[in-house]
Amino acid sequence: MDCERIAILLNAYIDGELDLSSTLTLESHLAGCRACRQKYERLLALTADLRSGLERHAAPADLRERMTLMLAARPLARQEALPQVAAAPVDLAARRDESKQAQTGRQWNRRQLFALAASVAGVAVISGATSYWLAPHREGEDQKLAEEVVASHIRSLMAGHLTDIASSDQHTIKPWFDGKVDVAPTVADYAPQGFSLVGGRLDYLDRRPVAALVYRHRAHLINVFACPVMTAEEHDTRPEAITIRGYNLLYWTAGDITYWVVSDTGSADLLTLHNLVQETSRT
Amino acid sequence: MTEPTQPNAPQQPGAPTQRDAFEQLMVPHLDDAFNLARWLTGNRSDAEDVVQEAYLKALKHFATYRGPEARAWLLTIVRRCCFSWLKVNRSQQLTFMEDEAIAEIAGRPTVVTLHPRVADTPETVLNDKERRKHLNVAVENLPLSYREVVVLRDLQGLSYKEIAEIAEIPIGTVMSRLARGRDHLLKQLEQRLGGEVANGL
Repeated sequence: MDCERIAILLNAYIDGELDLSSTLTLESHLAGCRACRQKYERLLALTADLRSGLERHAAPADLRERMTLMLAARPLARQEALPQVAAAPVDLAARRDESKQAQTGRQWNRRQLFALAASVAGVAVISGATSYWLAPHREGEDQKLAEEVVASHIRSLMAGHLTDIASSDQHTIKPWFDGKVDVAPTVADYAPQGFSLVGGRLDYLDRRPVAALVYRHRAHLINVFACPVMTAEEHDTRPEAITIRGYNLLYWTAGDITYWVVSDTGSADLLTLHNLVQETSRT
Repeated sequence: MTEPTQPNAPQQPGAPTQRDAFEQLMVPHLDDAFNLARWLTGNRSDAEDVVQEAYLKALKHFATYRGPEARAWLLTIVRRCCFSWLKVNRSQQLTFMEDEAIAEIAGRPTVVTLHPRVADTPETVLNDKERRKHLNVAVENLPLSYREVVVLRDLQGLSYKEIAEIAEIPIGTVMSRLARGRDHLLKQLEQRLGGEVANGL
């Protein structure tokens, strides 16, 4: 396949929108083509910059104001009873106040996410927003890795290759990883708490083999990636949340393992799973 | 005033009304709607007008909304309103909408006319704020059909399928426009920032 065609595929690859067979074609081309590998790196840096650096214009307060008036003035259906309608502008006003505190969208989303997670799970979580702006380099690496995590998650669902070993028994799965990866991840079935263990899989992240555990939570599948910690600096970190293309991610480091949890389920569910994993690893 | 007529099902007191549904589904996307309009029209007050008009249209046609993608449905309307507005007010910009014309622009050497003060000294270590400014200016200067896919994808985080729906183009076109748009950005930024695309953002 020629490099020009590859360039178009590269974009879809970075966006996690490439089907499995094209992904394989692309990856084998990349292995043998230095120019395309460089292009990949440049595009990766560009998209990360666009995500973090492009201005997000929040709706001005006076536009919200006008919207409130518009909604109050235009009854939708004749039979609407007044008391229900009367509540609408109040709701809007409350939302406006909330969003007045918002700064940029990304920051705001994170704060919101954490507020939600904290209120549901009843744990205090420090907002990731501060570290996001203070440590752009770290964030950039995490973003790249997060993209990879999402891509792996999608591939595992698409390719019908969810598990290498299907079992809900931790004593079957845990030894299976021995000698295959450099980590001994916490493995346990949390079926009573709503997270049933489906199995384990060998996966590849950040250029290294990693352990992937698959859980089912209601209709959602959750991938838990356990990766060996790269640097010695951070051994126990609080969970950080990212949302990429509708997938929620949570990551944290415990001991010498960094866990990445990804799913289309809510971030509060992921935080619950984080708490369960952490509880197990402590006992 | 034309109102969508509803089958006269008796409303339970306290039952969610269509207005409540509109508020719950559409109003939370006001920021996204405004952001898209702002990037497409290029200025705040026009974006406000366009968004307001789009919400009026959405309200009027809400009966035809069949869920569940509220954001994509709303943004399709916002985009259409933007284009009608551009047709009236920026018809010149729209003549570049043809892919061939855009390919031609993309192929031409980039004319560095913006922020010459900074561009004159590419060796200068640019701080984050300046890099960010360059990035935003470069996107503002993208041809419209590239700009919209880049904004929808890289800023609003929409999937290719959603973008195809909103911009009313096939998914393959989303892919190729994103590829060309990003190429254009790489070229512009690397030229202006001296070969190194914003590793520091």
